[in-house]
Amino acid sequence: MEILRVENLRKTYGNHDTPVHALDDVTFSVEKGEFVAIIGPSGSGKSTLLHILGGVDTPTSGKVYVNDTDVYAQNPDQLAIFRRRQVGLVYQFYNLIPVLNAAENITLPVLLDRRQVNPERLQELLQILNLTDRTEFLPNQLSGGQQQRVSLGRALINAPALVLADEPTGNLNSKDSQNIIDLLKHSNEKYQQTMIVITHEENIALQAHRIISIEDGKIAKDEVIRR
Amino acid sequence: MNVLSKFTVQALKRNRARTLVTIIGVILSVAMLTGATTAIFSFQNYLREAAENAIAQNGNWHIKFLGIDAAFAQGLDADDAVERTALIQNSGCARLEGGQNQNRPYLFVAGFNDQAFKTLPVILLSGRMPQNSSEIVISEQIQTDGGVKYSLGDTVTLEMGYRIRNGQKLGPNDAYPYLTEVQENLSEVHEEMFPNISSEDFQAQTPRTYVVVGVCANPIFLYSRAPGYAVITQMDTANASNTCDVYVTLHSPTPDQVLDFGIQHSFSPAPAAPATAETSDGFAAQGSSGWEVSNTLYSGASWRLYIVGGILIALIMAGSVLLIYNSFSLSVSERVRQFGILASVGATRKQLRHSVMLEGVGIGIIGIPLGILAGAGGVAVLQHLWRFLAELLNWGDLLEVPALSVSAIAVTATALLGMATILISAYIPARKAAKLSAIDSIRQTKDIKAEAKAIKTSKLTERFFGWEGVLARKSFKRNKKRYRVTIISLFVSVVLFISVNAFGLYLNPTPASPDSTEGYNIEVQDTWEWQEQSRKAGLVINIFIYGFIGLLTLIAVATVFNTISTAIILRRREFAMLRSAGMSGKSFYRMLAYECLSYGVRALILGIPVSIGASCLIYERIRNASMDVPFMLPWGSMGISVLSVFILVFITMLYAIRKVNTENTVDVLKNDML
Repeated sequence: MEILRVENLRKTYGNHDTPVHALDDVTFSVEKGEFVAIIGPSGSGKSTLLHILGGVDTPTSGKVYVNDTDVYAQNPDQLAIFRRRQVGLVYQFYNLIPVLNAAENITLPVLLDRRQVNPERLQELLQILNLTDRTEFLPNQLSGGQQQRVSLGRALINAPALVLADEPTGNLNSKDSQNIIDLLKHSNEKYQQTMIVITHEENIALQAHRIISIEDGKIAKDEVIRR
Repeated sequence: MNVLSKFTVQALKRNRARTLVTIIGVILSVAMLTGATTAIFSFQNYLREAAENAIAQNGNWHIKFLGIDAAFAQGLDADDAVERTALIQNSGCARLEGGQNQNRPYLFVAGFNDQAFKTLPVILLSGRMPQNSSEIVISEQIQTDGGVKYSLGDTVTLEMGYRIRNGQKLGPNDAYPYLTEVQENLSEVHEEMFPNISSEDFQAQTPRTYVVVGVCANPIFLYSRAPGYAVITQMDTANASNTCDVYVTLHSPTPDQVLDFGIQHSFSPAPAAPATAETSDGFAAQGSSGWEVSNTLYSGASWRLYIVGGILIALIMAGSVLLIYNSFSLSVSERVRQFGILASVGATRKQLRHSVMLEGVGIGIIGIPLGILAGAGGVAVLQHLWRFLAELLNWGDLLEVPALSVSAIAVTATALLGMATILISAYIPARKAAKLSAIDSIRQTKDIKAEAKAIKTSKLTERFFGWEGVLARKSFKRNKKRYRVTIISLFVSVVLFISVNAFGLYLNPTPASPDSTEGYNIEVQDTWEWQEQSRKAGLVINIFIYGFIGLLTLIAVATVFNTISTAIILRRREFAMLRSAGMSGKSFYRMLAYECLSYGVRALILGIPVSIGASCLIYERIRNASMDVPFMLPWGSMGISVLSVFILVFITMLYAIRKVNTENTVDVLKNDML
């Protein structure tokens, strides 16, 4: 089943005279449960692509469909609710709220939805993330790996259809890196969640089902390496 | 607690210093609002009480016509604007036999109709009201001042007649040739006003017999300087040809409507044939027929008060919004990244807006009660200071300035206005924060809009201020918006300070003559008292204006301090980079000194010409108010403004730099990666 479809996506920066095409006519689709790695040199447009998929940036033209919903045809409030329920975003620099503790950062999307946090779901997640004894800690009291796990928890708490990670291991040592990738693979396998991960590390890319390589805003290569 | 509330509260706690400055700003503005609302409601109360007292003393009417005939009174009754008319018939005048006061040799008999008994206060001291036109109530002054004693039940026969001078018949309120002490002091003016103040005769006509049924306090329809005493009886309807005074009550009029009514009815129809018509009992229609507006009308006129109060409150609120808005704006721009994160995990615009508004509510909950307390304290201190000054300088009558009391309604109004001020200030940055796209906020890319063209600096700057000057110029141009609030605050306080001082320059000379609204019955003595009163009132106004300007300046100082210091603290990463690239402390100070100079110069370049313009306008207004004074430029206050602007800006900069300098360069650079 197709969960994500991208049609003729363009993103142009700069003014009329000197346009910079971060994304140039990108079209592809992703099946539910796929684990996709996006690779490419810096400045190739992969982060821009991911942010547009996650509903935090806006395309210049083209369409993004998630579960057959035209993402950018929604009004700002619908878009916020889309981000809250349909996607989980993980950034290289964690982007946690410094004044909220680990548990609050993880449950943020649920709380913004004005729903009660399911304590079993939270406990399960904390256990998987190995953060059970860190719930009360503020981000600056946690190591980089722990912060990234909190960030991952925040992306997973609502069991979104689509998890998008932008170099989730870019700032971590190799042990923490593998730990994060294992967690991503785990929820991909266990909950059939679709993962799209940007990385520049070959060994991580090779653990995915499919590798999309982007150069100069265009898809240069798109190959399935395992099912 | 809601997660966004916690986010807000934590943010407030993390930024204690700025939260504190914001709260102090709120306290300051709420204290001023408390002062303003207290003054407004206290004065309103005072005016209402004064109006009630005036009604109790003078009766509940709006305008009176003197020396009119019955037909005229009927004409008034037919007017739709008239609610009711009270008539006092001039039933005649008699000599008071055995009177001791040579200035007051007469008795004036006034016939009240039923409406007059209801409208005009007759304070009965003993006995009862007259029930027919041969019963009388007499003024107690006949005994206390005139030394003639009548008892209840006495039958009195009066030789009724009229006063006559140079062939003219006189009315009860026409002056008697004996001058009072005050009038003698002003005899020059007096002679101008009453050139024929020679002697007068009394011409007796018919005797009438009355029974004394009551004694009353001296009634108001007779002036205290009238040359006789009041005697009240029932109006003699058979004698309808006597002249009357009519007291008219209109349907809830404005003062202007009352004046129009007076003008309209004094010319058409004209009061019936004054001065010549002689009535059946020989009592003449009096010569000085005219009309007079009740003083209750002006003492109750609180609409002026509301206008002045409204302007005052608007000024305070505008000043406060400037300060508080700035605090919120900085608080939001510091947290733009966090708003971005919240947006990226699905916070709606409304949720983000509410988070900022909640910050406002939180600050209000702390700041408003403290502000009201501070304001109430300030009012109490001012009042004590006032009493003290008034006693010290012997301003007896100014001790009776209305007592300021902080009422429940003033507190409620202040709390609402204070909250409105805060929420207005919070709304603009709240909207801005919510509107940014999530990824722009996270990257903080929209903060700096730099175009090569805009950042060009002149060769002159480089020559005079070195490359530090060029750098300062660039960061000023790049952050124009951030410093706009600073420059506006400086500009507003400079203009206010200078123009109010200009106003003060013209206020100090003695005031001009009063403008006459009260028909043509102006008393000379009143004019003299008015001048004395207005001199003191001018002093009071001065004190209040300067107090007000002082407080507004305080708000401006807080705003400037807040904007400049926070802007510098927000730029600490830029400074850390400069230092890590090898900028020396000396260069750093030179750069910031140059920046200070540009704020000050900009504020003054705008402020001084506008102030001069405002001074010209004030001069025009004052000259129109018939005052002959030369135009004066407020040089002194301009000098003070220039000096204070630079001192303030430099002190603020030094404070902020000291704060920035205590931080470790590497920590600052790393901190930003979060």
